[in-house]
Amino acid sequence: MGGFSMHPVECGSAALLLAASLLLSACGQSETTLDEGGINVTAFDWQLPSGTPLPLEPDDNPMTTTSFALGRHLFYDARLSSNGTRSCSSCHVQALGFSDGRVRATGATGDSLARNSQALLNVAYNATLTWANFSLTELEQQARIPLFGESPVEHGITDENREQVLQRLRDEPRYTDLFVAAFPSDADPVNFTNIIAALGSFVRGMVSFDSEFDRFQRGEPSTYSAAAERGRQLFNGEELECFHCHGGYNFSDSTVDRNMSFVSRPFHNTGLYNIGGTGDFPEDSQGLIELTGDPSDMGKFRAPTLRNIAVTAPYMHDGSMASLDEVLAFYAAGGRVIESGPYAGDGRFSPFKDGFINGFTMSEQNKQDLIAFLESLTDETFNTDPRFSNPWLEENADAAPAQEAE
Amino acid sequence: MKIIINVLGLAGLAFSSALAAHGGATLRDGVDVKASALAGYTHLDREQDAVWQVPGVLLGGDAHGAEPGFALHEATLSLLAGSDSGSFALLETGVHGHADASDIELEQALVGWTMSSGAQDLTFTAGRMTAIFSEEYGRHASAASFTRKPLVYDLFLGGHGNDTGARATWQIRLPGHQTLNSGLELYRGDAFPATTGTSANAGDLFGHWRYQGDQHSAGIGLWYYFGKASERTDQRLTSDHSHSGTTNVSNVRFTGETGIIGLSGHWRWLYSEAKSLTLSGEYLQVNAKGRVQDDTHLAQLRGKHAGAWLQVALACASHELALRYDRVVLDNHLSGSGATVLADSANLQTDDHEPQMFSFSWQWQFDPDLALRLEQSINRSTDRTLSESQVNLVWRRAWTF
Repeated sequence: MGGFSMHPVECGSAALLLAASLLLSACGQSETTLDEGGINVTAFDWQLPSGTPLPLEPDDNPMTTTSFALGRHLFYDARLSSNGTRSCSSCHVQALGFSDGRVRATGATGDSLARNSQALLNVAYNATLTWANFSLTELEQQARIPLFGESPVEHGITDENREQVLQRLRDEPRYTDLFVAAFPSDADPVNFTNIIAALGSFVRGMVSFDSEFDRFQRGEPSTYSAAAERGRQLFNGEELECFHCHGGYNFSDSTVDRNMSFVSRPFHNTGLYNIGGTGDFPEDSQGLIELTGDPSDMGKFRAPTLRNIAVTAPYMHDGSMASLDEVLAFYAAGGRVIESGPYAGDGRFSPFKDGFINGFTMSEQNKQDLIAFLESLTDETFNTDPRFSNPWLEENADAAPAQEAE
Repeated sequence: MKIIINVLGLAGLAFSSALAAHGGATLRDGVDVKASALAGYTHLDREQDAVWQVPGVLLGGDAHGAEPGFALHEATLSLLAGSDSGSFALLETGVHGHADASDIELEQALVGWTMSSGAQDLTFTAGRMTAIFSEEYGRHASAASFTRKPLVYDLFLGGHGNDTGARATWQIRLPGHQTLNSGLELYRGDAFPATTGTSANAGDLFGHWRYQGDQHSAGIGLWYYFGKASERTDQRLTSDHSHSGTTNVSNVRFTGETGIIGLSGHWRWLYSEAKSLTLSGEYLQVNAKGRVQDDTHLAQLRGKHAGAWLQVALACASHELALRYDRVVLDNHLSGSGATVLADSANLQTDDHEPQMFSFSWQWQFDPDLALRLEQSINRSTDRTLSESQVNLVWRRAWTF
């Protein structure tokens, strides 16, 4: 048996190990620190749940409470149209998730719009606005289309009637305070630049994160069901592929917020039409190709959010599907077959169809589960929130301005 | 009583020395064949997470959490051919089995040449190799006291890896049974935390001092590793990704540099012919700097991590008892617009958690080639403690031709 006698270098080795342990102890505790560089500074109370990213605010139109309040009044005011028959709320009804329940809306002069009215919620998170326009990225740009557009006419405001419309607003006593509060440095704040800015602020502020699904995700009391959860798993599965275009917190792959550095602005052809086997869509609404001229952009549209989807029928860019049942059957088939008529063709074989639309097998139970999940995305709080409701009704019903005359 | 201490207490060191020898020692004319296998049953006291994720660190490579059930943890076969002229070649294949992958891999395929001059050897090696900057990095589980690598190796170096490159080592035999082995390795960057590049994306410098006395042996190692990564993803997630969150974690990518300094030491006291005490440990300090991104978010990451393991092994005849303690401290700073989002989706929030692991093993070498190994670990690498129990059979054999 050997005795214990250590060489100096051996003592050194043992001491080294001891030192390593002590050194590690001296390193302190694990910690993660974050510095977002002030990107989340805002003067507006977005009323977003904790952890939800803030939407972008334009540098030249930062969100303010006063601008939002003015925008809310303007949104519901039919005086903001050529003949006093159309307000924004004519096609964007709060109870319907700010959609209108119609296949296609009509403008102030009776023009039929080419596309289905989009639901307005979380528009602030849309990477592009409207159905198929890559260049529309800010609400202040987009608002000009319904206000001043001539083909089709929506609000019908023209150079000839602009001053008349503005005078109507100047004549409304409540606007005096609202405009001054929103634009205090302007000598004459009642102008279309400010109107558009205020409308942009209001629509931008219409954010929704209080569905049953959201509450379940946050661990709050919720009626989110087991069927909905099964549906969510199908939705996020590789067989159905839904999440590729409707993924993320806003259920759209065309989403932007302040935390993002890379913004994707995709558009998709889902095989809705394939007229005569050429891939064509009906002439009045062919999607992105109308702007780009690129044949491969035929039938490409932005994937809208699925939030509030259960209350925003009819579906698709042309409102050609009346129910979620119909939509799910369409995706399960991998496209739509139109047997006869001017649009006859097999959308399943469209040469421009997105690679994720491949069809899938769906049992009745699967369908019900998927619908349960989609219904769990309905935000009843948003659809009844007084912050977004018609202010003219709540302030003075007698003095409420004329609404749409339909 | 059969004395098998060399296979037990110092088995790991002996094996690593053999690997190092491919880069340093003069080889005899002939062929050495070595084979090993380690297989057994693992019991966990709770369901393991689908993919092992330690809060605060970007994992990858071959860092796998414990998996319940029967598994072939390791199987290797190596063939070393040398000549008196100093040239040698090594071919090694292996399986590092876990639930989702147990393919046979070509671990090493190298050629080398040693020039000897008096007490000095200069060796050049090239090919596909396991790096030798640290003795622990290349150590096979069958040659260690524990089946799992120390936590720092899983977290910072992806468990183990092989890379293609070149190595130069300089070994000096000093008076008093001491040797000093130093070297430089340059690699393409196939092994985590680097990614393969057009130039040398990984490399290391090392110096190992050893003393081998009659009753005592000791060693100190100092090394520096650097690795460059470009758009590095966690390959473990390739088949496990989900889409339930706002960001798909498998889309998280790291581009930047990782520098690791390691300081290791061991001391062995051969108390008698059949009894020994071995104390070994290592301290690693990591600096990771670069950008983390997913498809939409971007943030700059500065990670300062440190970790250590300390092991005590008592060998008595054919039995060995070993205790190991692992601890890691993870400091991250993320800046930029995507900092908050990526801190969550890339699993970089430490939540003040410090990964730790306590492990115990008993190994009984009941046959010259076979050993029974029982292991018990309290794994606190995540915020949910996991108790791991393992029964493994270890087989190792060498042939000389």
